[in-house]
Amino acid sequence: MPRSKSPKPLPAASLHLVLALLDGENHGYALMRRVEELSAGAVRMGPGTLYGTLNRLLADGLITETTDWVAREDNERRRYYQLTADGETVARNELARLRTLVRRLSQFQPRLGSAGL
Amino acid sequence: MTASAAHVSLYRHMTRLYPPSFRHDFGADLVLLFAKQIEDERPARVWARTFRDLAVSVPTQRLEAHMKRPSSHLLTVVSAVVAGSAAVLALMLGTGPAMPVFLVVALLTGAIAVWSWQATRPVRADDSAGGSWWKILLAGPALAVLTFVAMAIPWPTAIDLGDNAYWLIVIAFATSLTLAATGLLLGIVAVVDHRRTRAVGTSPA
Repeated sequence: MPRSKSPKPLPAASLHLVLALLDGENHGYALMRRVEELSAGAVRMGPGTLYGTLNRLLADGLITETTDWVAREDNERRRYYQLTADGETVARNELARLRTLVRRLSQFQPRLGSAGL
Repeated sequence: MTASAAHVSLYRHMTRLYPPSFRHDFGADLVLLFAKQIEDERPARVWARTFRDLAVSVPTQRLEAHMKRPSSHLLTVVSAVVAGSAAVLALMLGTGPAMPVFLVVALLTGAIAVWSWQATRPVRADDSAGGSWWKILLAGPALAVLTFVAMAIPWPTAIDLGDNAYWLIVIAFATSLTLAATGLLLGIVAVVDHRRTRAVGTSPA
C-alpha cells in the first residue's frame, strides 16, 4: 500500500520542547523541567542538548526569542522563547500524530487501553 | 569558594569545549542552567547527566559549526564508523600496547553513537513495527561478502590501487562490522521496546 507523504517527524528533543512550549513562552530552565514533567521523568536534557535544540528550532523558525518583548522582574537575565505560528502548527500536528499512534495501538493491542493508555 | 560555586566554575571551563559561536550565543545560558540544576539536585546526579550531555552535544555543535546544516544523524554515523574502525584496529593489534587505547576509543564512541541516536531519532508512528534495523543488520554481511568478491576477482592490470587497496579493504570491513553491530544494537532495542509494550499491555490495570 503506498504511504502518503507526510512531514518528517521531529527528533525527540525538538518534539518535547515544542510540546512544552504549547503552554506559552518560557525560559530554558523551566522548559527543561516542563519536558521532564511531561515525560514523567523519562527525558532529562542537559544544558548543551537543550540550547542546541533551541538553537535549531530558532534557525528553523519554529520558535522565537521573546526576552525583550515585555519588561521582566528577572535578575538572572534569562532568555524566553515561544512558538511561532509555524511552530504551533508543527506542535499541534505532532500532537495529532501521537494521538493517532496511541489510538492505532489501542485498536491493534486492545489491552493497552486497560493499562491506562 | 563554596562547593556549588566550584561545580559551576568547573562546568564554565568545560563549556570551552563548545565552538566559539555557540558559546557566544548560549555560554551564559548554559552556565546559568547548570547552576540552577546544582542548586536543585545532588551534584553527582547532575554531573552524570552533564557528562553524557557534553559527550553528545559538543561533537554535534562542532559539526554544526563546520558544516552549514549537517543531518541530525551525522554524529551517530560518524561515531559508529569510528567505533567500528577502532574495534577492528584493536582486534588487528591483538595484544599490542595500543590495543587497550583503541578498545576504549571504540567503547566511548560506541556509547556516543547510541546516545546521539536516542536523542535524535524521531518518535515515529511505525516504531511499533520494529523499524528497519534488520536492513542495517543485513547490509553489514552483504558489504563483507561484496568485499570478499572484490578481493577474489582478477582485476585488470590497468587498475592498480597499490597500498590504497589494503586501506580500502580495512575500511570496507570496518564499515560492514559497524553496520552489523549497529543493526544488532537497534534490533535489541526494538525487541526490548516491543517486549516492554507487550508487558504494559498484559499488566493488570
